[in-house]
Amino acid sequence: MIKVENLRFQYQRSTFELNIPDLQIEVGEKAAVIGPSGSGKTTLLNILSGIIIAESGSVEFNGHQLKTMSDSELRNLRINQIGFVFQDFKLLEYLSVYDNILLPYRINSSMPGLSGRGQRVKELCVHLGVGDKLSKFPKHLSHGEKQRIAISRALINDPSLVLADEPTGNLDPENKTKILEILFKMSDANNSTLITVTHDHELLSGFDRIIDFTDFQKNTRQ
Amino acid sequence: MKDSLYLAYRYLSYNRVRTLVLTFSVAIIIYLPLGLKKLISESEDQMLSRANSTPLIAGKKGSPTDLVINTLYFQQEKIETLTMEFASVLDGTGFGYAIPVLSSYKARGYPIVGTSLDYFEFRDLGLESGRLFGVVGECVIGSNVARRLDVQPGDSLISSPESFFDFAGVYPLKMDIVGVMEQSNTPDDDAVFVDIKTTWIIMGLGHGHQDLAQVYDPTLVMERSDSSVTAGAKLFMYNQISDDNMESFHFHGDTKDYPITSIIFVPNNQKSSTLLRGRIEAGELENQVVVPTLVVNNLLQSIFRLKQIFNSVFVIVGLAVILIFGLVIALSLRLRKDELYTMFTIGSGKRKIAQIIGMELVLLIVTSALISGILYYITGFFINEFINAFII
Amino acid sequence: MKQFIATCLILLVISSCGSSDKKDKSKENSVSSKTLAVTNYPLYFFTQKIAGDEFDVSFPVPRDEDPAFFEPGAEIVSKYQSAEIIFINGAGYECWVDKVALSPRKIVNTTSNVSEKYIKEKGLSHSHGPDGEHDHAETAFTTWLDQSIALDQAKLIYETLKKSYPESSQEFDNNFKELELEIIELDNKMDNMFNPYQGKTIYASHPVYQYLGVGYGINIQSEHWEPGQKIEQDMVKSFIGSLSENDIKIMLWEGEPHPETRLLLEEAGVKAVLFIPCGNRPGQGDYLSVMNQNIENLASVD
Repeated sequence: MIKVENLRFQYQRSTFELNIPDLQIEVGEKAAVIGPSGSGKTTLLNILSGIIIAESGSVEFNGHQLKTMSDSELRNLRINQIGFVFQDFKLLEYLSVYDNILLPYRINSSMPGLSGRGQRVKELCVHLGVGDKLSKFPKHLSHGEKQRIAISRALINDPSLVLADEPTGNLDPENKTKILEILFKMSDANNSTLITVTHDHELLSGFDRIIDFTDFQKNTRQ
Repeated sequence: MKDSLYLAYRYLSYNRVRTLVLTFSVAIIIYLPLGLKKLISESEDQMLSRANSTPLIAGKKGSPTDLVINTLYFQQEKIETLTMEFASVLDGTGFGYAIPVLSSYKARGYPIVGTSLDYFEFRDLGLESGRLFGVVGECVIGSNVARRLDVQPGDSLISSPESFFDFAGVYPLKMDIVGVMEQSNTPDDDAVFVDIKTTWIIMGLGHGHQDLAQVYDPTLVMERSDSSVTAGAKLFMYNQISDDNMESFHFHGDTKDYPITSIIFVPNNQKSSTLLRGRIEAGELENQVVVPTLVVNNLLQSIFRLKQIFNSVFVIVGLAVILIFGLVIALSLRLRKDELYTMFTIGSGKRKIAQIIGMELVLLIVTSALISGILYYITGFFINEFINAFII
Repeated sequence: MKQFIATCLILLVISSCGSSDKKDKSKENSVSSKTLAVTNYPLYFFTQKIAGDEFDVSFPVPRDEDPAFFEPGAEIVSKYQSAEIIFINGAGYECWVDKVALSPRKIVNTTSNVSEKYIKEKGLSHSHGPDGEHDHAETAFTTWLDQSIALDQAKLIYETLKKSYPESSQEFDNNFKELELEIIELDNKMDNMFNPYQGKTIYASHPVYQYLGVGYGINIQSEHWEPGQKIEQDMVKSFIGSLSENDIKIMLWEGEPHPETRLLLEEAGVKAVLFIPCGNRPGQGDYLSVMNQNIENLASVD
């Protein structure tokens, strides 16, 4: 479902260049992206989600050529088909857990209406062990609880792709394992593709494949 | 739009203190020039209306402003008195009729206004309850007096003992309230009206006491002969007029010589007004006749100049507030950069994000406008206080 | 549809009845607004005569009260307040006017043009403390007993009404002319009757005949006796003892003297003659008939 060919991307005023000749990730595959810091792992996630458009090469997602899509098409693609999980959770402090999870429905009009979604929120939260936190605000939650809610937000729109950037980076060892288990379970349950950037090599065993950026990194030095 | 509004509302209500500070700052800066404009403009209207409805005021020669303020607003600044005889003189001209006014005492902080019944017809004042005063010792009160003191017909008021008149003495008189006037939204609402003769009694120019022909107590009667009795200072003067002692009340001397503070003269027509003024200006040495509208206009001119100064100040302060407001918003957006990028990442467009921020501003401004609207509305209830505190 | 039209017609009829009521009320108001008030009976008589039926003349003093010493209550004050013009006698007659709230421009003092004829009498004065004497010199107030003053009072009423209601001038002219003739006739009769007593002294039970005396050139000496009151024998005897040969042995009474008093006086050769000042409404007749009767009573004395 994800096909990357001859991808080249370089940030302006930077010597760093991302170079991926060929990458394919199948539907339902759980892939871990590893590599040294600054190797372009997060950049890849941004390119795969259409946040960044590479100047050369092609990126295809579920049959869509991202290069040919307009900004609004890309936004709609992200909101409808991709879920994001961040290292620092990125929950909105002024929204309750309930509202945080439903955020995607409020920020893009291509999403269907909110009716019926309340039930889905409750189901997700109960499933993730935070069913009693719906009315709470992020400042009242532990890191582990925050990440579960972030995952709920990522999954609320039943995405076909979940991009998780260091989802366990701010968690204690017990929660790291639990969170990763949750991600795997949801991926299996929904047959959604999971791409996770991680520095935690101890957690790699559960993934279907490892994408090592050491192979792709090309640092042009003058 | 609904979702943007919701998110904006959530943000503002979560950051309560910041929202309140911004809202009230903007509300105040919107309200201040408008509120002051309303205060001044309605004060002007009220004062001019009061002045326009009073054709001529006669009084002792002196400050026309003090004379007009005393007569129209019952501000009891020290003004010279004239005699009741001048009212007869004005009546005798045939140019209209005179309404004497004596405003120099207070009852529980409210001015006692001695006048004739013509005053009520002239001002078109109606009764809310009770009746107009019939005899000395009775009073009718303005609607505000009744409400604030919680009194009604059947109750009584005692005149305050202080006075600036240097007469024989001031007698606190217990006055019976017989009526309450309808609200008129004029200074009449804050006054206690009595017949002018009652005010003379308070001044000590009239009094009631036991019939000295029947008194034989040597401590009360200093000297007695067939034709005269000299009473001592110990003789008790009645401090309330009732059916039992009414007969004993009397005035010493000729009431024509008694003092009043001013006369409202109601001319038959404009020509009569002009003729009267001409006659008085030419021939009268001790008294004056003024046109209240002209006096009040002069007074308001100085207020108008102050208003312009205030407006300039408000513009500067307003600009400063807007700049600070802008700075606060800009800083807030910088702090929220991460949050806004998250929304973008998840799938929100820049326009939607701008809409959410825009909604926050709209909510702030609308709430500020509402608050300033309420303050603006409430301002209308304080016109009289403003006039009393800052104009007269 | 028919019901709708019928309802509209009914409503139209009802509303027109209401408006005609209003018209009637306004007409009623315009009639009742012509209310004049007076403070004694002679003024009532003069005013009613001159003003005619179009005016409502109010004399609210009760029949059994002496208007000169009457203190009105709130209800009666209200009647005076609501009048368009208040005719007072003046000369200190209405001691209550000073204590009542009346619009000064509505008050007409009917003796203001003849105030030089006021008769001052020394009363008991009083003063407060060492400030000095406040002389309450009293003014005699039964001015109308001198018919020339009565005519002046009537004339002032007439002139005031003409000025205030010029639309009724013609009626006032006619009425006043008639009244004037009647008062002049009365004046002439009194002149004739008192002529024989010019310069002489007659007596009065009470000091209410001052203007009669001055107006018709007779000296009237007064006691302070009330009609109907039994006067102490000593007092009567003392009075009789003070009579001189030149005095006319007539004593004028405002009302019937006590029979014993009348007897004592008659025994001393003094005739008690009823001369009613007519300050309030007479039991019978009117002002003119009462004055004419007074004249007859005097004339009937030998």
